Amino acid sequence: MKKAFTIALVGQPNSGKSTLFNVLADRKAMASNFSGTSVEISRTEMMARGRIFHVVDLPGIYSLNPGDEAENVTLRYLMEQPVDLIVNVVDASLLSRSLELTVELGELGIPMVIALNMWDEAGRKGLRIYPEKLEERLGIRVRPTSALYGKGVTRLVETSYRCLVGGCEAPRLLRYTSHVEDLVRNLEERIKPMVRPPMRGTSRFYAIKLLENPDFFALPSSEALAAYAKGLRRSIQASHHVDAYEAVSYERHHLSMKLTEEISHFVDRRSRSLRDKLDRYLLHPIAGQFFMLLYLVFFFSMIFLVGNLLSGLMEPLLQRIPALYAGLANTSPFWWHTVNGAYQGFAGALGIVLPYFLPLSFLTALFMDTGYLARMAFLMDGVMHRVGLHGKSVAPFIMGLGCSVPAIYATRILENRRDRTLTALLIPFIPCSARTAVIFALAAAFAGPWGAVFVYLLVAVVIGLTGKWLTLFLGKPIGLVLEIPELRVPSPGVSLNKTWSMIREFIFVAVPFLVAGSIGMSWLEMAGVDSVVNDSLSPFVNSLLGLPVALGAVLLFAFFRKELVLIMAVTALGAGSLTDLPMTATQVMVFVVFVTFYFPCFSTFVVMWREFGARIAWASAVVSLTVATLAALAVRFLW
Amino acid sequence: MPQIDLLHAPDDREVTVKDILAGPCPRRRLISMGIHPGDRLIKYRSAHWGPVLVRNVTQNATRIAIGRGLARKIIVTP
Repeated sequence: MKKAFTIALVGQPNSGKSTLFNVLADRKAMASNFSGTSVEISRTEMMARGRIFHVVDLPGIYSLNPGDEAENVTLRYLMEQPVDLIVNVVDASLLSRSLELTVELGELGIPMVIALNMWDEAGRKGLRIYPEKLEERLGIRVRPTSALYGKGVTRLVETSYRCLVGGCEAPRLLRYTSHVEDLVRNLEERIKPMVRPPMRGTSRFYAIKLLENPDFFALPSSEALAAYAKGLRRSIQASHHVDAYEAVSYERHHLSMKLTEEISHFVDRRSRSLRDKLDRYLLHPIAGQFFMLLYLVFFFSMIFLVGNLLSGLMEPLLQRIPALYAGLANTSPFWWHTVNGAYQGFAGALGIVLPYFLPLSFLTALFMDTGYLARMAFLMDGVMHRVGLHGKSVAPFIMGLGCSVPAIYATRILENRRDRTLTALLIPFIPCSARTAVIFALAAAFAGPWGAVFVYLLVAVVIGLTGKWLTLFLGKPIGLVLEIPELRVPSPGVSLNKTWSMIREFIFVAVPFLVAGSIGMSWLEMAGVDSVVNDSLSPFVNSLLGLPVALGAVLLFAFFRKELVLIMAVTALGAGSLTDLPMTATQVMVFVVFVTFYFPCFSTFVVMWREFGARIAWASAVVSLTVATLAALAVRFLW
Repeated sequence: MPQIDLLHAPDDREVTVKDILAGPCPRRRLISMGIHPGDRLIKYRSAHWGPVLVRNVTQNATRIAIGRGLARKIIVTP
């Protein structure tokens, strides 16, 4: 068995690593035109010339000095895991800034290939780059790519293959200016004996990191070394008048500026004016808000219209099925309950949830690639400040419309724990695709589109008030620094692909769950267990919220998957279809509002626990249950 | 030469970054995102609320939104 090589994709945020990763793999990582949307490490296997390669997509980093947790993840991975080849994804249109990371990665001493991504974008900006000059300067292979359109990827794979199988070099080291360089070498000599396998990286890398960062984690601690490094840092401070961290980052900055000058030049930049003009409107303080509103109205009405249409097409087909097994009711009640439970789960998934999930997935995929998300973050910054956050939290929030789980991971792009915690506590209030389906399906059946609009307005109010309330316990927010990437035309093919992988996951992961849950519910009902649960929850469900007693068990089990709510409600209340639910419009609204806000679902709770610990996970549970009850009560008495 | 902060710098005109008076954390953030003392920036027309939008002309980079509080700590000259 030949060795399976590991290739790590490393690059600055928004350089297109995840898009490249998606092209390399069939599996789709969450990619978008927004800095730092992939904060979990995605892995895949890739076949090239009959050999298997492991490919990992590491979160985007500006430098190897972690500023937020996403960057920390990447640094730790590179320091602790075996990586045979780094594919440094460079945003060619932002050459000089991107090369700063290239210079730094070179110091690691790991073999490297450069993907000059967004090659087309650089051309549009009027930047003419000569890859062969960069190859010459760094002594490694450089390949232009345009991952969004799949261009140049085959050559990149071929180059990486040859590099791994045939052996290849780490980039040539670039020297700093004399004073800093001398200090680095000095420190390097002392560190050399400490850097032994399995430690990764060169002793030069460790020396530089120790100069930059006194608490660098990857070295065995030694007081003598720490004291020595401290002395060197003082010497830099004295002669450069900035701290050592900055002095070293200026060194890399100058090296990359110089490299950029050597390998590229500008020709003309007229063609950018159209997108710039568009941006003038999209980012305009007043017109921009108007466009954003227009966009959101479009987004949700499309989901509502398409969802309604698809659901209407599916329903007559699905309603024919129960007649097929109706005979079982008399001959074998157990099997009738089992089959009926399975049918309810299946019909609910395909007839109610999928129709809304489909347009939501596609529009989100398209939207993510345009770069509009960053513009929304910019426009919403002022509003978010009132809630004690800043614009960057908009990204996790918008991702929360899909699913709370990736949204909670996405909070890693926020630089400090305060913002992360607050954002994560608010995310469960954003209706995810499961709850969107619940809201839209019930609204369509009972209250019309305005019912859905009302729920979303309520969501905004609830997030605002809860955020305000939670900030009373936390400190003040710190300032925003956010990159606004160029607008890009999304590729429908890529978006369809992403939609398909989301749908596939829904069908193969969620649907079995829904069917099993529904069968379980049906059994419980047959055995009479549900009535025990219902009775014990009755004071809350019936007396306080004014909902049918039978919904108690439904609400309890929907903790596992909120899509289950609809299906189980139909089963529990003995209705033939959603429109026959024996509930008043007010009861439906109370139910929808409570389901939207109460308790994060099981997966969200687990992820919250993993990311923030038990205390925050339970806090989230308590906060959301309180908020859900208050909001539902408000609806009950005010609707 | 008159020194002003980025928040109060004139719109649509190039300015040079003189200094960043923020704490070490936001200062590092700005530097790693490509805003260094000495760089030429263009500040776009902005509202009296919300963040300030700049583009680094020296690096021909993308636009960066900077919160108002932080923008007040970036000292520039025309």
